[in-house]
Amino acid sequence: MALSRKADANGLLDPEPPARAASGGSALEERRSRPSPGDSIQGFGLGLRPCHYEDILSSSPRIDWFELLSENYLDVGGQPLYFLDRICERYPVVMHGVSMTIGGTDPLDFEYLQRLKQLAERTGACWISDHLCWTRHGGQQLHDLMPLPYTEEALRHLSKRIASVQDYLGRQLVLENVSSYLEFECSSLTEAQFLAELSREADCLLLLDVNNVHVSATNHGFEPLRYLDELPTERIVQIHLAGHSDCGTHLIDSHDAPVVPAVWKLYREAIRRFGQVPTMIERDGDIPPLADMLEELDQARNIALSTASCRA
Amino acid sequence: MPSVAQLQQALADYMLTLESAPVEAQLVRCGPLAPSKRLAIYGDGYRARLIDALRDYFPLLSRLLGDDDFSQLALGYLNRHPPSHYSLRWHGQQMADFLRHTSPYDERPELAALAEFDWALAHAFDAPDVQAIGVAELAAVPPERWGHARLILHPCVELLRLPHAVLAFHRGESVAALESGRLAPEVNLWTLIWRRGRKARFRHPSEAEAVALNAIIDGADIAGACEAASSALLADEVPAAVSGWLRHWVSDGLITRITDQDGAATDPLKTETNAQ
Repeated sequence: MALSRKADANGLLDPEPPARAASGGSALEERRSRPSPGDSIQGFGLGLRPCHYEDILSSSPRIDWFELLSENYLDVGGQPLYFLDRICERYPVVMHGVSMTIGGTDPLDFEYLQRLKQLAERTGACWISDHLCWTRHGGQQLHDLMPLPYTEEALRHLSKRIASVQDYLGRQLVLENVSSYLEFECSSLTEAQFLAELSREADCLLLLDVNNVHVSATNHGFEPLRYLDELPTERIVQIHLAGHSDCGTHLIDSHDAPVVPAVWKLYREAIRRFGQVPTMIERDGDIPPLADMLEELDQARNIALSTASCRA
Repeated sequence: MPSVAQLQQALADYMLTLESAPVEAQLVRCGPLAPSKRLAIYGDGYRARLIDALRDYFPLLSRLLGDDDFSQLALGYLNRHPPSHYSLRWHGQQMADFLRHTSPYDERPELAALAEFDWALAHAFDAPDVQAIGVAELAAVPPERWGHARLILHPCVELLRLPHAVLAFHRGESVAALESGRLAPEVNLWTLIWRRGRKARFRHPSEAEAVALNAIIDGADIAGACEAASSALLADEVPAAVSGWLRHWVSDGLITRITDQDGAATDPLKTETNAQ
């Protein structure tokens, strides 16, 4: 997900998404003993956007699931909830948020978490995801996915907060790697190493945004394949694809253009490593008609199925 | 080594002030992009995102002012009211107030009126869903309890007093005013804004209906609303008028509950509701 940075999901056959998570403590065992939220997500999805509501309901397109942007439905009624309810009757959904501020040092906002939980109950969402970032400090909302230092202190800090959120929500949290434009000198781990450690320590799951890997790799000069190699295969339950803006000296995660060839190539490498993980395309600016999004989603389907058959 | 909290404080300070020196020293220098340029991606993005969100929620105000003037207004608003809610949806909540009390916008009262209208239409569109009562519930209230009954309105309901030119501008009229960048305040019209089905609607109630409804919004019971209406009607006209408005409000889905003095729902109003 990009917070439109003047310039935010869906999927493929994951035979066993929740069961692939490594075993954890008693709290996790308790969560797993319930009907697992992630079981019904398979295949290829799209980010749910208001401009497609009517088309989705009138044409019932071949989309396996939708990802809704949580904040768009938390404090409202009327048309947004009307369409959401009807789409949830027809398709599995997952929830994707931008305001949990899981890496922040302000206290967790349990009012926000309560609303998130209520929305998950209303929609039957299979996953609740947010980002490896912070978005608020001193009560100030920055409305951006701010980067973290990848240090031992940050690892301990996030692990505790993720545990609190997972206990409150009664399910595992899914965290996404963000696109970033700066890095901190004090970081002692790579982002991928941090995600691997964090997901094991906090027993959370991961949403791999392939476009974000490409954007950050370009902006910071790291090797994207090495990034993929450092991720824990068993934790990745969802993949995002999106377009970005090339500003010459750097890339911006703008979600306002089609997926570029370099990202398709990296997606193929991700499928080769992680298997048929449920995949979706995000589009937030210059959103084309639903038919065009379906064509782009077919590209993801073709790549994933052909790569997975080679892998098999 | 700076702590996570210290780094976040430094970066949050940068976002608000654009003073990059304190945080720059903590950043990796790599590639063709200097740390200041990397910071600017966040700082500029923050401002662009919030300005865009305001433009989405104030389409009439934005149309009247034009892109540049609206962006300047939005930046001024952002400096005074940095966002504290997790949703961009609520960032513009104080816009009309800001326009009313900030120079030079305070010299143009039509701006605050446009902002109020934009905000009320957006609110009517996506205010939380609450079931509205039907005619049966209205009829079930015993006559002797009507005087002290209070009406709870649907959260989407707004009653504004707007300059006629604002409403004309909404209809796409007043092109000359748009070109000059100024709408002259003229006669004000009571404007009742609400949602019916999935659409925001508005109409112009009479002075008597508006003052009665305003009294209800302010917490008056039906007797209080009648008293308010009597300022604009002859005393013997009031009962029939109020009765007519009540039926109209119910058929428009404006009323979600009828309570007694203590806020408890009057019997038998807990059944047979018509969904919005």
